[in-house]
Amino acid sequence: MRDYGRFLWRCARISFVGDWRYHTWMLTLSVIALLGLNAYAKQLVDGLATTGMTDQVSWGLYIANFTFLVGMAAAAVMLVIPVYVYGKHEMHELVVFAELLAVAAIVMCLLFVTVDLGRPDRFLHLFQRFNFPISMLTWDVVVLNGYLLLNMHICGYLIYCAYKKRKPGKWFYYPFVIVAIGWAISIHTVTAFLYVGLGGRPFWNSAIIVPKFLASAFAAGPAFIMLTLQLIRYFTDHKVPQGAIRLLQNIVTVALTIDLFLLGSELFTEFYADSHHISSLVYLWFGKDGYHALVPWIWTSVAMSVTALLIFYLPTKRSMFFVNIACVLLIVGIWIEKGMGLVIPAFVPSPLGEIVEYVPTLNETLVCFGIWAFGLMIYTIFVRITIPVLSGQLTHDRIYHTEVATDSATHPPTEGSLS
Amino acid sequence: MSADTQQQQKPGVSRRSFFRGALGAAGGMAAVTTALKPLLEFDTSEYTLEGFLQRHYKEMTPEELDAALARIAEAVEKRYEVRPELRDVKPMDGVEFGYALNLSRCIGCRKCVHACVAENNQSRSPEIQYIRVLEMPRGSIDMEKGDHAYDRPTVPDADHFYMPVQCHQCANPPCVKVCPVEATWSEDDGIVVIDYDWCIGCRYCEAACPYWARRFNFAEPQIPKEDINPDMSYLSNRPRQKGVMEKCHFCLHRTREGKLPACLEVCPVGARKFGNLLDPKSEVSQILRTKHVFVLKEEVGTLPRFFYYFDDDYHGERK
Amino acid sequence: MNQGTPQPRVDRFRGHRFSAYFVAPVFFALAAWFWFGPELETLPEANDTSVHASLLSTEPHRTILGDPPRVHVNGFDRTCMECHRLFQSEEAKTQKLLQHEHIRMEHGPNVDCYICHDAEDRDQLTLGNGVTTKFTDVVSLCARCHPSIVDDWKLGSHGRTNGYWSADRGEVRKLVCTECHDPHAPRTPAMSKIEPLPAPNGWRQGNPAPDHHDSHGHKRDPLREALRRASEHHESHDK
Repeated sequence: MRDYGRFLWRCARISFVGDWRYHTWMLTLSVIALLGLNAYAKQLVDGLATTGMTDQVSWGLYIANFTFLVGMAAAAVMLVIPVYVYGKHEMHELVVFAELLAVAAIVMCLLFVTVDLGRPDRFLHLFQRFNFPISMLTWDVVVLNGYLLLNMHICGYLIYCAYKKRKPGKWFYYPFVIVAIGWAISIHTVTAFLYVGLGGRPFWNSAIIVPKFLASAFAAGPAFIMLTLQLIRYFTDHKVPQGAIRLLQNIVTVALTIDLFLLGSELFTEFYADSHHISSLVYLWFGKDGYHALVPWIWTSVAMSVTALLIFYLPTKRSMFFVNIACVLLIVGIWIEKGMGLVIPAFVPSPLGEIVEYVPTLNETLVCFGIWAFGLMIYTIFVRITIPVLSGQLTHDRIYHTEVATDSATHPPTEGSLS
Repeated sequence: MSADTQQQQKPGVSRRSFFRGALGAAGGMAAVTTALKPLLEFDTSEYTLEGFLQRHYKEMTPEELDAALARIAEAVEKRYEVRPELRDVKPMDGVEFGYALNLSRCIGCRKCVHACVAENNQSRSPEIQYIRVLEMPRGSIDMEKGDHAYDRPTVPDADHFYMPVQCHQCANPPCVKVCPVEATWSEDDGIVVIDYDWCIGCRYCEAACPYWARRFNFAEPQIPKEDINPDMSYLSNRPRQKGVMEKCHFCLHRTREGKLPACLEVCPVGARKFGNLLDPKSEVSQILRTKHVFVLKEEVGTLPRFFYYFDDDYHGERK
Repeated sequence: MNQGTPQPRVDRFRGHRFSAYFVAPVFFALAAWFWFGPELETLPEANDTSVHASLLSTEPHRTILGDPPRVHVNGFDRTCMECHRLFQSEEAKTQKLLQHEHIRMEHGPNVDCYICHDAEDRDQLTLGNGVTTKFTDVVSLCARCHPSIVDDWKLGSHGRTNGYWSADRGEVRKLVCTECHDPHAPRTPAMSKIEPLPAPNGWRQGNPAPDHHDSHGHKRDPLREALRRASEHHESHDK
């Protein structure tokens, strides 16, 4: 236990250590996170009136980001499956990075849900009268926190073992990995059920949303991991096999294809039947009664996704440059689709046919940026800690040099020099 | 990411390095603290320990409920300078409430909307209203063709009919199903109520409601002191707080004591009918038996207790 | 994991502890901004949309005559017969609305007073064939020509009910025909053309669509003259 405490202490210290690029990055994120904190403090005082939400559009950017990030978290499984189910062991170490991303994403999810609450001071009520299993939101609470714990356990255990130079005990993590695979699918499925279970919102009340959620998540998530791995490769000397990135590229290609196929099916069904239910779709894609705030967004999103898909199918797929562009395009495209394309249009027109548009305020945008910055910050710290541990530079019996050469020359490499 | 504190430095670590760390830490602390500056304006007067520890309405013992009522009444008196008659009204045995609304009669005067606001201590600014009246072109009940903001010199207009919508007190309420903390539930007399002291403000119920009947307190509700209705009950019209849901509750503080709801009493044309569905002689039961009533969005399967009907001999020429 | 392979890679993150001389000023600048910086965004304006209580009266539109009917004439409180016993000649019976010029007769073919009023006893209404009834029982009179509407009224689907929904708990006050309808011109009840109360005026409702203008093309203003009407309403209400 004392060892574990020292391990955490060293982790905490190392997260402050880095070169100027690391510090600039972290400083920028801190500033943005603090701006978000400030904006949230304003929201606590004035209420959700500081957001652009109304009784008509009662969920906005917060829930949209939440939904997108659940997908990101679930996408970690796309690295786990190849390793643990198909035995691609050369990617074993990369799994930790994907699962750490899941941890950071879930933390962001929980923050986004928290800032969306009108009375966050009452969150304890969840423990006192938990409407499980009736309310899908309680399912979401269970699966998200469960997934967070699973991944924290798996990552924490593997990293700690590396730190202790112990061989990880299979029984201490393998069953959890297998459970986490199913669990990852479940978090995004349950999140989709949040929406599709509402009979009063025809725009959501469609079973195809569930597979579409998974497909879009398994495109955006691995794309994000691809970019992350390349950044790790660029900034550190951690070995990231090109094969892993290419494998992810294939996964992204397939998932994005399925996503767009499902989108096409959905659009055909709704528009060809042309029933009353398509009001929200008409509003989203073409505008309705002179209101068309979302139209440019959704077309941008589709254009981005289609461009990405083309890059993945044309010879450009061989160039990492183009592939990275495609990744960025599809991440942004899917992010737009989750927010402007899925959450908000279901509220327009309202169930009584009233059209009230939603425009996010500066304050809620700052809160969103703040949470993203905070999430990226903890992910950076995770990676910062993990890399020296995995590479054997930071172990229980080895001192990691954190001071500059001149400093370490003056001070012998003892425990003290860690600080 | 302020620099780490370095209290237990081993000898040999330079004073400069300690100063650097302290400076960074101080900067970080300053930034975090000042980021929370808006909280200085936080009005904590209604956030009491007792309120925080208060249990769910259904779990409170009679003594706890009395204590909660006394505390809430005191808070109301402090804020609005009116001594409220705050009580808890239980459902009556053998009663299930139903509402019927005669669309042939409604003239769209919106008196029900504003009588409801006055009766139920709804926020005047920002405005919260439980009833929404739609002006609909004749020949359709497509709500998307309805105008919510109609503003004529006089009503009714000959080419339109008017459809007020409020909470339908569904027998299969989607809002109740989705609430993660059971802050809203269906009572024995069919009224779907909210424990304002339990709601966490996630607005899932608002997304689930097919009738757009629920309202959220996005800001601190503002009610002029002289407009407070002191006749209050726990589950109905006591003043709400910022960040919780509210909605029509069939004026349960009135109706559970035999009175008619405020929206009905003010209706100048008698379009609104209310009573006990379990009593075959009640007005609403007789209307259900003899008129061709319908409910909104029947296909959603919510089983509303709010029915609409047109007079059989109605040809629209009345107006 | 990497079983502590003894070949430490160069960690490019390693290096200078980023100078607090740069980090701290940024934080202090941010703190100053939080403390002294301007408010970037203000909450939307919320109009007070209260309407005057007098507009929400639950009183009947008309006050009906009791039994015996008492009317106020020139500051005197009289029953009908107190005057009409003075005009009992045959001539007076056929005279047209001598004292009652304000009465507007728009009740279909019913232009003759004595179809409804008893010619002999002016404090009574006539149901025909010499049967009379009190003014308070006007429903029986109306039922002679409008039986289906009276059936609806009895059923509860026509007309207003105030007070209590169950007679067990209090008075179920069913308003009678003439509390809404002018018996002399019943097709235009008091509420047939009234100004609606203000439209909803929620926050952040966006730009009103073109059809959110009133018939005169004015942009809607939910609070237009609500108070003026409130005061006027007082006078016009109990006519």
